[in-house]
Amino acid sequence: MATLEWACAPRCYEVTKNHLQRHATQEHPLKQLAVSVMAADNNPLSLALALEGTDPLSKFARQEQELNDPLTQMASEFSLSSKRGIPSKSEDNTLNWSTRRLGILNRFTTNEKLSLSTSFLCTSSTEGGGENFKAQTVVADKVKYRLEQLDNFDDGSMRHMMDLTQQEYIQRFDQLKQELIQSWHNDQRVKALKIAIQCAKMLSDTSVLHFYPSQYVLITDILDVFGKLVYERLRVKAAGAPGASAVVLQREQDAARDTCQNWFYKIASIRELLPRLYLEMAIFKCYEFLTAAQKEIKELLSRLTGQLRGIADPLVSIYARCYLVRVGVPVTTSRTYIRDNFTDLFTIYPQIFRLVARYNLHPEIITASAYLQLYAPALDFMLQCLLHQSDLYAQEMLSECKQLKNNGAVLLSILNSSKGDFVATHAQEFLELINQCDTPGISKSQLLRPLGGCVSNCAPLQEQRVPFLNAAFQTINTLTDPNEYINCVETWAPFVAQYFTIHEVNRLLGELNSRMCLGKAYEKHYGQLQSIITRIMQNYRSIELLLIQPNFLPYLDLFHKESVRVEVCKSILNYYRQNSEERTCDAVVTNALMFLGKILNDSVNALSVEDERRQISQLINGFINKVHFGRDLEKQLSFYVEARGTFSNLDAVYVTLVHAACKLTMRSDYRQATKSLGFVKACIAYCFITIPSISSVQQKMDLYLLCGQLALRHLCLGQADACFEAALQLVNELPAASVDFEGKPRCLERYLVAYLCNMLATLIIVPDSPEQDVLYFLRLLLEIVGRRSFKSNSTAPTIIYLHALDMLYVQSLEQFPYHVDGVISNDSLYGHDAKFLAEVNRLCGQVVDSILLQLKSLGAAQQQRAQAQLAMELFLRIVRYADLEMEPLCQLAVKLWLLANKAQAQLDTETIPQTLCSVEHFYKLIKDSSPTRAQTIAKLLLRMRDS
Amino acid sequence: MLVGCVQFHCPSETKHDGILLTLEGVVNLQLSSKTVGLFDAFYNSVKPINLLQNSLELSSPGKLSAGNSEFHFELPLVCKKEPRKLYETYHGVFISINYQLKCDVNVKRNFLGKSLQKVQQFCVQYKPAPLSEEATRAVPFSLSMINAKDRVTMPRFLITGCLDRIESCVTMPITGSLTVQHTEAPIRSIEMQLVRVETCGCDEGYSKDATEVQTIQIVDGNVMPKLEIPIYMVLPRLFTCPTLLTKNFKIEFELNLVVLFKEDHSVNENFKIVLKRATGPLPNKITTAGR
Repeated sequence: MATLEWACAPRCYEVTKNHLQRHATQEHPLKQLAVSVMAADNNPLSLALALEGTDPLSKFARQEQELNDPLTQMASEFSLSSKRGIPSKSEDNTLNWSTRRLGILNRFTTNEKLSLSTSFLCTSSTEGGGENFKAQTVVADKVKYRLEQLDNFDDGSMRHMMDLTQQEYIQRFDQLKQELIQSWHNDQRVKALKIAIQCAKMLSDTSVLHFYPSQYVLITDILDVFGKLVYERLRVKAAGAPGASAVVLQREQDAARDTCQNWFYKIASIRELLPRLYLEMAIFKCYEFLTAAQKEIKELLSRLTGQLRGIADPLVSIYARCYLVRVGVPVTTSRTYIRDNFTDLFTIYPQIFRLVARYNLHPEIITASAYLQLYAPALDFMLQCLLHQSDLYAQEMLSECKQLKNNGAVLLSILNSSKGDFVATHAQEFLELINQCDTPGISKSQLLRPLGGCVSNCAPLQEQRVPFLNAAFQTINTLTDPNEYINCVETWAPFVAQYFTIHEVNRLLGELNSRMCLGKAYEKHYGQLQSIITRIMQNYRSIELLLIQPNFLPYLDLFHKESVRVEVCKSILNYYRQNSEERTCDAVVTNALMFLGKILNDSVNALSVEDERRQISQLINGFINKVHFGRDLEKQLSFYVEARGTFSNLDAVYVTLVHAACKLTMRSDYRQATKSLGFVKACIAYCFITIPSISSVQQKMDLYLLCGQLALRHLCLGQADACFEAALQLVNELPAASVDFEGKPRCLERYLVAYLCNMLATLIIVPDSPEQDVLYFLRLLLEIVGRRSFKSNSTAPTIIYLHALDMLYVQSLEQFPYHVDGVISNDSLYGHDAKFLAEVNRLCGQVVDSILLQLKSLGAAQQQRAQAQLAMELFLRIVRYADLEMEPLCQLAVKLWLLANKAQAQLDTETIPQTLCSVEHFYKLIKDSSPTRAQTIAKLLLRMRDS
Repeated sequence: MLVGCVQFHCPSETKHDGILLTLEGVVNLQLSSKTVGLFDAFYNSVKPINLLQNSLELSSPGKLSAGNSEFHFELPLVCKKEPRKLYETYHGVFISINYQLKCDVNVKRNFLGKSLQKVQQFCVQYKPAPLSEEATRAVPFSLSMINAKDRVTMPRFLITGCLDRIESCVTMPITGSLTVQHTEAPIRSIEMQLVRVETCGCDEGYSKDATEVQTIQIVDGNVMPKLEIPIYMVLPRLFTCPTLLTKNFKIEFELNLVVLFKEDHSVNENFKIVLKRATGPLPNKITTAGR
């Protein structure tokens, strides 16, 4: 086909930029997160409130923070939950039993068969029918009916349910609870009481020892329900009808008193000791209807304390005492009765060990340590209640504990329940006690663990720390069992890391290394080893110091299992990223980090998930960005080289490395002017070599362009040419169809258009190489675009051609609008040579031809709107760039105008008037400087109007 | 003096032939079949003793107007006959002391129509009198194998303790303490038993019966030696009264301390106690009585 004759018209006006008006602002216009959080408080109708107080964006932000490490996550969860607890009860709920319930239920379980004896479960269904009817009968009958009922119960002999599994057992208790509540509401209080008594009776059954604490929890739940029912009924009774007169109210109160008295009389006549005491405790709160005096309440509590001595089994006894404390705490602030309970407890304490001795002989029933653990929940709770918010009794307890033989169990509970500062001040004393302690069933490590936890939270005085630590580790080191040893060290690690110098930490790590290597002990304790290193990193100030300790890396070698090792490396790098200094230049630190990174890199293989890969890359990138050798740029580059060699599996790291190297070239620029060129070349060469190893074509293209621009910036023309060529060649490899990008299919055409525009803008200033043709890169680009198969009806090639036309027009100017310092671009290279201009015009003609072809095919495909828009674009370019005195060009312009006008209906209403405006504007611009051109434009406008 | 008020509620005006209020107080005695034999028990049932028999006409025959009508009354509580004294209300096995107020309304409705009757029991309690000085002393005791009947097979043991007083008030719990000093055989349980001893006496013979009122466990299992364990027993209100000694019958109370060993041995220690009424009833008892 005949190519169009094209002649570029010279630009004969000043290019001015319309700068928008600027405003000074305090806040980043795109920063919204912080603002919305504030708004939640001020504006009640805001979105944040609708989303339950947290707007999703800030929630994500918070989550991100929390995701950093599991411990802070737990901490924040804890703080959240404690915050939630506050509104319901201003008092702290450390003394609240319900928080412990579930813990006990989960901890003490059994596989053994349980048995349960009650007369209620089976008979309930048959009686149910008649009861409702009778419940409505008159009062006189009620007494009779109750008596009948009693007879009924006496007839129904006790049924023993044997061989229940734990699940069934719990179910039965639930059933009993429902039964109790139901019969209470059906006016069968006697039956409810009987159920409660039978439940309490079951508490004396210790046949399945493992389960006893859970059994206790289940049964006391029922008793609590019963107590609450009684209390509520009395309260309602005492409150009387609303609006009653004072006299009536007084009478109501007296009636309630009377009923209350009756309850206590009834319970006092229960034959067995345990149910009698438990039921009295269950309705203990009701004593407030009988007496208001604190003194009497205290007397009652101490009387019950005394009566509890009659229970011989220490386990049953201690849990009964625990229940007493439970009901006592809400009623009175006095602690004397708890203290009395402990006095009694210490008296019967040897009894426990008589049993322990027996179980030592029969470990098939229960082992001594497991047996002692049964006591722990009750002891802990009672101690906590005693020591809560007052140190009054702590000292006393400690000294009494010293007097006891086999004091391990008590000591453990004291350590678990007392406050940190008390333990801290008496740390040495505790340590001595632990050293002396040889309780069967309680090992030293069990005791050392909570002590370590306590001092980690609240350290002893400065001057006591070192001797204390030495003494403690003397004891810890005597532990022979690696399991016990590592469990102890786990809680002590934060203490060491927080309050001592790096040497102690190093020594601790060394000791761990040697201890855990013995007999491959590490294999079983990965969890603990991991938690130790996490805790040390959390608590020690400087992660760099840790990294350079001689025992640190050998410690990592303890993790032989690949997955654990990778986990640990990840967490170390994570801590490094968060906690370290801004920059590091220490070779040892870098080496250590490289070592960690290498492990991570090696863990990545073809099977790794994308997320894993990204996570690891992020960690390594964080570390690479922190390495900074200051002025020693060569060293920095060689580090990058080393890093490239090490992290060969991770694309993202390569990208970072290329960027880092690019940054390096810019830093080198002004400092060592003489050496710089060689160094810059080395950097660019480094990039050039690195880029091909990246798999993503897009990233490669971007990086090549970046490198090319950099090379141009540093006057390395040859390298720049190589980069641009490589980039252009890559366009062929770019997949034509859509690719999966973060789970969504995305078309690459837009990217390509943007990328090539960027490229074209760069190519303007790239001088032609003497070895290649004129405008070699542009030709190459056009050729590639021409060859590439776009989607059908795509406007992409046309847009690229239009921009190429722009580029070509700039080439025809006498002086380019921008330059790179020192680079001789084509304007000076050819000096507006006519031959060069002819070549440019020829290329323009080719490009316009291609555009027309595209327009035609768009028209054929009924894409009128796109066709009209593009035609308009081309029209504008012809008006601006071309010499309109040439008739064919003028004709073309008019044709394009007509083409666009044909599809007027489909265009935006503004498009055509705006185009006209801009032509007129252009006319005004050149009217003064070049009247002849202005005339041609005027002529064109006339022709456009005529046609 | 018994003070009260009878309320009538009639839907319409009602004719009646007089309203009569009757007060009765009776001691019912019964001979136990165990002590005197079945035959005797059947025939020689002792005559009930009438303590109180009093009546009052609230209204002569007439009409009750529609709606509520009230009759307030006061009756003297005085025993005019032999014992010349009223006893406290008591419900036992062989002896019971009951007081009741009967209200009869004679209505002639037809031949077979009965008159209306309403019976209400009421309690009589002594005025509180302070316990004697001497009786507040603690009573020490000790139990060992010497108390046991079959000493040969009996394990060695020693239990000491004390009751806080031998004379006690019916409204107050019995308190004390005991300590197991040592024992060879494990203890299964230690219980406190309250026993009433009722004696019905007449000329030709009397029956004396001890029956259990309530038992309360104070030790469960083999308790730790040398540990002082409190004794605490609340007396049941309905089944106790102050110790009563009369010409015709006696009501006394005793405590049994029963020690049960694992090997089915048991040892008993008996205490005679005197119950009195030292403190008044709870104030609310007055207001709620009869309601």
